Amino acid sequence: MVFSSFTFIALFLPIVLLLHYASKNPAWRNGVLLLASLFFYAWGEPRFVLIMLLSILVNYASALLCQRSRRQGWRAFWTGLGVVLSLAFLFWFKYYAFLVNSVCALFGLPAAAQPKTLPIGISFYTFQIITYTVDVYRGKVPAQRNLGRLALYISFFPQLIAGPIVNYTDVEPQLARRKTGWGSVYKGLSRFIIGLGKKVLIANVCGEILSKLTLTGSMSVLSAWLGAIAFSFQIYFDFSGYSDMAIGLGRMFGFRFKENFRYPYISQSVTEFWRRWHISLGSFFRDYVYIPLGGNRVSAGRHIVNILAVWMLTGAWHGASWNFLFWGLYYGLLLILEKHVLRALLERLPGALCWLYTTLLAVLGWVIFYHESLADGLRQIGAMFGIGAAGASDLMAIYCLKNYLWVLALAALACAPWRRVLGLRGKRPAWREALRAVALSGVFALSLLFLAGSSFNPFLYFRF
Amino acid sequence: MKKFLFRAFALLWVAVMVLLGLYYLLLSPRESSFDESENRALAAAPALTAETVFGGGLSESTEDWMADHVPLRRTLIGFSQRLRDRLSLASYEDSLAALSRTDDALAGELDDAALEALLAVTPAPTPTPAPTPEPTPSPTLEPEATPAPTPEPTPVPKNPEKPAVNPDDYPEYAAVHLDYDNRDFDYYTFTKIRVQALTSVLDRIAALLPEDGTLVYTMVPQASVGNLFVNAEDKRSFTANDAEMVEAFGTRNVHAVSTAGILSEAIKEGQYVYFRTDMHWTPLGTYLVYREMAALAGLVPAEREEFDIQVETPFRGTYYRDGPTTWMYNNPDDLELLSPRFPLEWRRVTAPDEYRVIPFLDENASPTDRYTVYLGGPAGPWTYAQCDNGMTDNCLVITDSFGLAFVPLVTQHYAQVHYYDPRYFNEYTVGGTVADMIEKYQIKDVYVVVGDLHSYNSEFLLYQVSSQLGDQG
Repeated sequence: MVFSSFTFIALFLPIVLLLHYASKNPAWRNGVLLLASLFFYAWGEPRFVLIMLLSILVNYASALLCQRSRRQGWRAFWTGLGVVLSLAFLFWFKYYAFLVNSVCALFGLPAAAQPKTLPIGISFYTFQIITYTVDVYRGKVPAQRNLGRLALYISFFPQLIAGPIVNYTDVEPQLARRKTGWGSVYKGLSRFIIGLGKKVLIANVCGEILSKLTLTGSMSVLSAWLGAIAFSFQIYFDFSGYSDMAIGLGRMFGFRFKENFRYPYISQSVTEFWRRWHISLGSFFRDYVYIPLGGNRVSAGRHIVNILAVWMLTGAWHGASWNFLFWGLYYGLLLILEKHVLRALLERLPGALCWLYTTLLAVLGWVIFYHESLADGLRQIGAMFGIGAAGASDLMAIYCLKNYLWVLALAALACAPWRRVLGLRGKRPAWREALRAVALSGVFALSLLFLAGSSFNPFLYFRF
Repeated sequence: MKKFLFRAFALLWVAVMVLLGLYYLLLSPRESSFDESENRALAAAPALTAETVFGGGLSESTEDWMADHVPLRRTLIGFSQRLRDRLSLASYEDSLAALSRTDDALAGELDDAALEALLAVTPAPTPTPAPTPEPTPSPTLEPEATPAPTPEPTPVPKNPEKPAVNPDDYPEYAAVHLDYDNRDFDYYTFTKIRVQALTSVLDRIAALLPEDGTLVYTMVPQASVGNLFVNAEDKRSFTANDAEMVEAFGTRNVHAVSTAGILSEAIKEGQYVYFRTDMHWTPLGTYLVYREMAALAGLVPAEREEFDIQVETPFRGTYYRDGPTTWMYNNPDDLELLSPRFPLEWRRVTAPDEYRVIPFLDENASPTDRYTVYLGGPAGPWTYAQCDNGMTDNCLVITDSFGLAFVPLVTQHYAQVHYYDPRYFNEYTVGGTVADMIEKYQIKDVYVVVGDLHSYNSEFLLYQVSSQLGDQG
C-alpha cells in the first residue's frame, strides 16, 4: 500500500486514526498501531510478514542475550548473530542472484540464479534492526523487554517501506509515552499533505516526462538534458515527499522522526549535498560503518579506502545492479576528490559557481543511477554535451518542454528554502497559520484531483 | 485561536478522508462497468477469497477498483485535464507531432514468427450457402424478403483478372511516410510480411463470399496524421502505398482503395475532410472514399444530395475532450450526419436471433461524443441496417469507429447493411462465427474500413478478425 493511493487515504488512514484515538491507553494505542502496521505490510505480500517477524524475533532474543552476557565475547557473539541473520535475509533476497549471475557472467556461463521477489522495505527495516541490536551492544540503550514495542518500532507503517531509517535510540522513549492531541493530528496531516503534494503534483508529473522521452539509443541534446533534469526532480520530490508523509504520519500518532532531507539542491559541494540528502541513510553508514572503520582519523590512504567502502555499500544498498555500484563509486571518488584536492578551491569560489558545480555533478549522478546499463548512462551524458546526440532537439522534447514547463518551474522553486530566504522562520502567528492551512487544503484537493486524473487511462489511438 | 485552527482543519481533512472512505464502502459500484470514452472495463470490486488475500491479488484489485471509482471521476478528470491544459504551453500541433512519434512503437506488435503463423492458416473449404431462413416476426433477427431490385449500372467491370505479381518488386513498404518540419521520418514501416499477413486475412474473408461477391479494403489515416498535412506546405508530405500492396497480393475479388491518396488530394484543394478536434475523418472525407469503394464494388455511388444532412455544431471531439485547449475551443468542428431518405431501422443484435433498435443519433450524448455515439457507437457485437429501399443484396462492413460515417452511405445499395467491430464481437451473443453470419445473411460484398493503427495492429485485423472468422481448417 502506498501513501498516495485512495486505499490508504480513504480507508486505511482514517480507520487507524479513529481506532488509535478511541482510547488513551498507551498499550491500546501501541496495539492498534502494531496490528495496523502488520496489516499494512501484509496488504501487498502477506508471506513476507513472516520474514520480518522472524527478523524481529531473532534480534529481540539476541539483544536480550547480549545484555545478560557479562563477557565481552558472548556479547559480541549474540550481537553478531542478530546482525548476520538479518543481513543474511537481505543478502538472500537482494544480492544472491546478482552475485551468482555476475560470477557466471565473468566465466562466460549462463545465469544460474533466478532473482528473488524482494520483500518490500527489507533494506530499511534491516538497517533499523541493526541500529537496535548494535546500540544495545554498545550500551547506548537497554534491550527492549516488551516484544510488542520492539515489533512496533521495526514495523511501524509510516517508515516501514521507504524510511526514514529511524534509530532505536531516537524513538525508544516514545514507544512508552508520547504526546498526542489535535495539535499532533493537525501538524502531522499538514506535513502529510505537503508530502502528498510533492509526490502527486510534482514527482508523478516529472515521471510523465520521462515516460515520454526516449533516453536510450540516440537522443537529442534537449531530450538528454530534459530527461536528466526531470529525473533529478522526480527522485527528489518522490523520496522527500514520501519522507514528509512518513514524518507527518508519525506525528499524527505522537512520534517525532528526524528530518531526512534538508533542501539538498541548494548545496554548494558534494559533501554538503550528502549531508542534506537521505540524511538517515548517511547517518547510518557514518555511525555503523564509517566511524567503526576509523573514519577520518586514519592515514590518507586508509581514509580513501574507508570512503570507497562506505560508498560502494551505499550504492549496493540502493539495489543489486551494476549501475548502483557505479553510482556509489562515482560519489566515493567525488568525495575523495573534494576532501583531498578541491576543498581549498571550493572555499574560494563564489557560491553560485559552487552551486553550479554541485548541481551539475548531482544531475550527472542521477543519469548513472537511472540507467540499468552504464553504457546507456554514459551515452546520455555524452548526448547532454552533444557527443553522439541526434540533433539539438526533437519533436517530443520540444513538446515535453512546452507541456511540462510549469512543473519544472514549480519543482525548481520548491527546491529552495523560502521560509528562510523570506525571513519567516520561527512560530507562525495565527493569521499566517490560517493562510497556510487554507493553502494546504488547496494542495490536498489538487492532489486528490491529480490522483483521480491519474486513473484515467486513455489510449488515444486504440479507443475506437 | 491556534488551537481552534488546529482542531478545525484537522477535523476538515479527516472528514474528507472519512467521507471518501464511506463513499467507497457504501455507495461505490461493485460491478465492472464499461467506460466508452476509455474503451475499457472499469475494475470491479475485489473478490474476498483465501486465494486473493494470501496471494496478494486483493491489494492490487482493491487499488484498481478504488482508482476506477473515485466519486465524480469524470468531472475530476475533466478539471484535472483543463487545469493542466491551462498550465501547458504546448500548441495543438506540438501535441499531434509528438503523439504521432509515439505511435511508432505501436505498429510493430507482431513479430515475424507470429505473422508467419498467420500466413500458415489453412482456411476450410467455402461452405455451401444455406437456404434463406424462414421469416420470423419482429423483433427477431432475420433477413427480410424484399421485392426484386432494380439493378444499378456498374461503372467498373467486376473482378477483373489481376496481373501476376512479383513480391520482390516491393521490397519496402513505407506505407505512411511523413515529413514534418524538415525532419524526415517514417510514421509506419510496414514490412513485406506484415502486408502479406494482412492480405491473407482479407483473402480468407473474400473466400467466404459468393462468386460475384467483392471485398473492398481501405486504411484510414487518423487526423493526428492528417492534420500534419492539413496546413500542407511543400515540406510536409504524406504518401501511402498499402492499397497498391493489398491490391497486388490479394485474390481476384479483393480490392483496395488508398484513402490517404484520395484525402491528400482533397486537402490540397482545401476540402474539409478531417476534423480539427477529433481523430476521425469528416463525413465529407468518408464520402469521397465511399465513392471509390462503391465503384470498385461495381455500384453507382450515390450523390451527397441523395441523403438528409443534419449538421451538429459546434462539435468539439475526442481531442478536445481528452486534452481541451483554447485553440480547439475557438476552432470547433461541424459534424454532418448523412442519413438515407428511405425508411430503415438500425438493429443491434443482443442474442442469437434477437435485437434491439438503436437510434441513429443519441440525442443525450454530450457534444464531444456525438461522432462516437451515433449509430450506437462502434460498440456492440453485431449491428445492421434493415433498409426499405428495394434492394436485395446484403453487405457487411468490418470496421472500427471510422465506419460510423461510412455505413449510412452504403445503405443506398443494399437491403441489409451489417457492420461489426472486431473488438466487440461475441460469437455466443450473435450465435455464430463471422463465417456463419456471412452465410446466414447471405452477405455478398464486404467492406473493410479500418483506421491506420487497427489495420496493422495485431489485436485487430490480424488476430481478432482472423480468429473470429471461423474458417480455419
